[in-house]
Amino acid sequence: MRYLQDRIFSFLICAFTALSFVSLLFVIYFIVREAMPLFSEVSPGEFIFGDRWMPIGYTGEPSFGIFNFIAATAAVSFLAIIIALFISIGAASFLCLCTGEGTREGIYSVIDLLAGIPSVVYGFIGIVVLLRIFFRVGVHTGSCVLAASILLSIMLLPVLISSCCESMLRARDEYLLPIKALGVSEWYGLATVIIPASWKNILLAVIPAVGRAMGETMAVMMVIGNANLFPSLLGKSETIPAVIALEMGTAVSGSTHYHALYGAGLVLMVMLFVINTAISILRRRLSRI
Amino acid sequence: MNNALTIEKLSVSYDNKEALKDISLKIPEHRITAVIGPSGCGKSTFLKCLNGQIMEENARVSGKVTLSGTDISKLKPSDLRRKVGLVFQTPAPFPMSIYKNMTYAPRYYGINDREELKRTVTEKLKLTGLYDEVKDELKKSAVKLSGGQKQRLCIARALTVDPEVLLLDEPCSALDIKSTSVIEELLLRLKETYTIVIVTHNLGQAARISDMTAFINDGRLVEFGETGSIFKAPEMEETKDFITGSFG
Repeated sequence: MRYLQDRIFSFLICAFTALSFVSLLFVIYFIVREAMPLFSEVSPGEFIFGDRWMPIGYTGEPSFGIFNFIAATAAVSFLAIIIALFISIGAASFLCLCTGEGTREGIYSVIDLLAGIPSVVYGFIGIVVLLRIFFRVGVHTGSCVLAASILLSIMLLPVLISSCCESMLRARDEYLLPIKALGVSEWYGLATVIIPASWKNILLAVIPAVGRAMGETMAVMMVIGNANLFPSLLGKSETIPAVIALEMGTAVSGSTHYHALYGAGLVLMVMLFVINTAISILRRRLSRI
Repeated sequence: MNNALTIEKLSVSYDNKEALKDISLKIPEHRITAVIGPSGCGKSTFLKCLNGQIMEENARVSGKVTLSGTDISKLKPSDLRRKVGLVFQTPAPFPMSIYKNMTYAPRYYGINDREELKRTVTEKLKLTGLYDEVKDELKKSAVKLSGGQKQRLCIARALTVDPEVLLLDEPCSALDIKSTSVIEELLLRLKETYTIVIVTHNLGQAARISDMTAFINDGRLVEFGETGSIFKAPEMEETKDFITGSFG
């Protein structure tokens, strides 16, 4: 009986693992299949490096270049992660050195609330708060890449703060006493030993954050202005998820436009894969030190 | 003989629970003083009082500790810790190169001259017998050293600020027999230059290397005296029971 139970249990576990793996494969297969027809009409080089996106030929020939979208996606995510990392490391430093366990748990639960807010609400706050500020300082309509990055960075905070804090707490428990035993101040120790020792684990938390940042559609779409322009800090631009969300509904199924949107999705997936691999390699480099 | 540390009527309590009760003893210069006693008797708390770490914990401390004539409560924590170094049970070399571990504290105290730093590193590593083992790979990560080497590096690191007293909190309990004997020899060499206080649960170790032994039980100093007499002819029945292994 016991044997049978064990067998059933292990079979179920294997089946669920296989299910998640197979569904990933199906997603990839589906996107690739839907994207492929595009490349019989537009060359991959033209698609990736072209900067003219004119899916329907109202004025002149249709053309499918997503270079600006790629650049905007990368720029917004990169900026957002940098901003969020700075804030998270600051917050984690505070939580590590200035608070007791009780206060820390209290603050954690408030930060976790941030994670529960739907992204459309973030977008709304972005429009009424951030865009107004940018508009007042002279950015035309207020929509810009920087606004999107700031908004996105706030959305990334809950995950990043808690994982930064966790790895820094571990390093603190290991190194803070020896640091203080040398008469060195705890803040100097934090900057020179504890934060460097935590980098490896912080990078581990950055991997899902990159995924979240590059895939975030709604909030970014609401504040970035959605214009096919090369991203500049205070200028409008448009990210790949935004293009897909905005145009998929109007693209005629089976048309080149439709396939091009899938192509853009494929490019997004490849970008994520490349960046995640790069971070993993960097982590391995760090752990060799 | 001069006393490096004089402890007078030292009492410590956490949340109204007394951890140390009315301890008075004089720790002589350039000697190894061992602190022995069963687990939880207050040995580590005693060490924390000597480098001021206790002040940062939620503890009530009364009594007086003087370090070569100065009341340590009058010293700034960083000044006190430059004079009284502490080595922990688990060696925790910082995750950086051996060289950087050794220059960490001197740099913090404003020494930036490369030659001087190099001299300090070489001198202290030689003192701990680590120099010959690592001289060609000072850039290697300290985390990759063996357990015993890590502990010797931590001792060397504690010495880089030139303390007068070196406190060791069960420095060998995470090490194998061979590394332990290397460290014991090292401590015997170091007592020429430094005053050493070692907390140990290893009675053999206390008997082998220390000149003076303090037996603490239940927060009280039961007996303090020359190691030879404590181990061969303890005055108190309690000490005798502990040494012969009846409890603890």
